[in-house]
Amino acid sequence: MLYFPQLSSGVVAQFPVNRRAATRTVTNQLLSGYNIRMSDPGAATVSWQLQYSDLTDAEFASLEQLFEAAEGQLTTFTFLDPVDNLLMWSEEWTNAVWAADPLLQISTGIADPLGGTGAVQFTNTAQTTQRIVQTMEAPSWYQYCCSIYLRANTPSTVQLLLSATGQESLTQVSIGSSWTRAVFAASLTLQQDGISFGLQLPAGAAVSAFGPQVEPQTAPGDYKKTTDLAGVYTNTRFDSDSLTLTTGAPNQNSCTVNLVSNLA
Amino acid sequence: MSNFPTLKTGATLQYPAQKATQYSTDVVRFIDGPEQRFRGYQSPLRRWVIRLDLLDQTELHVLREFFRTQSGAAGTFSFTDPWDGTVYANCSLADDQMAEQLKDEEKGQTTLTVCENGT
Repeated sequence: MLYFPQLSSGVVAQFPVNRRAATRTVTNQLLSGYNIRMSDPGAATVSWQLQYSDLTDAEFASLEQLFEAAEGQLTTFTFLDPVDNLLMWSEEWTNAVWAADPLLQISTGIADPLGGTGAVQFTNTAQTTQRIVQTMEAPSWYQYCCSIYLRANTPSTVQLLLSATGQESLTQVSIGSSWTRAVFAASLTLQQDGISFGLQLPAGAAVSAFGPQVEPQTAPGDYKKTTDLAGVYTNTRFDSDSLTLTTGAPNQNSCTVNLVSNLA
Repeated sequence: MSNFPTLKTGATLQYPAQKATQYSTDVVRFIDGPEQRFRGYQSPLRRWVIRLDLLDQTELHVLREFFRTQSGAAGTFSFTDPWDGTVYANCSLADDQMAEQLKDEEKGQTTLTVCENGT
């Protein structure tokens, strides 16, 4: 499987990031001003224009390598949207995309740190650790930043995890009675298609959680609530058959890459 | 029916803001000079151009998700006119495209046009 590369700094894009969502609506406009509109969901696309500057030769080579492997705009690859949350259903922990261990109780409708009621309470009723994870169709060896708001009525310790089959990275987080955004940046060495993010609770722990987010970078951005579409675009293409490089000095390259992903 | 999202400040739009009122008049002119005029719309239709700048990533994401759930111009939603507080219950986005730019972490910008639908 092909993936759009990260730069050596662990990011996918540089500022400014230009993004365009496009849909298609068939409209019949009547003389009275009344409209009859029908959506054509098969035509929905998202496109990005990524402007890179000061790329090293190795960074440009990785872009060029993908461009050649994809044969321009012929074949598809996976692109991780740098301005989105890679997790789906970020406030629906009971959705099927989240795999919870059987003795982990989930209570919904808890007050969250942003003033809503999108948080949940996890209670581990087992005598061993229990976890809840979501697997993304993303490369396991990329740099990721995971973040989540946590609180507990009594001081507790939980673990955030990033895992692929055969390797996992765990970080311990101490939580108190006020909401704290726990941040965990990591990358695995194992090269696999698919990576999981999750939360692991020790026996007897009860914690409130809100706003899980995974981003393909080293530091967290603002929290973005997701539903049935997240930032993993598995059907992305280059929007052009040519890739032009400008070199200003040794190891200082710049280029602009246009990508498009069909949402159907 | 959904509502057009507001920013974290509670505002819907930023300056410079633009609002238009649209009538549709059919004019029949006769050879000898007089004319007859016919009203096309039952009531005038409003249109708002919402230019937003200096948005943070959450605000930009909320607008992006709103565009997606509306399927561009296909959906309908309720829009409160920021000038006078009037609620227009039957509005749509005017375009099937939403372009956005994130210049920096807290410097997102986009423009959406909301139009009132005739009845």
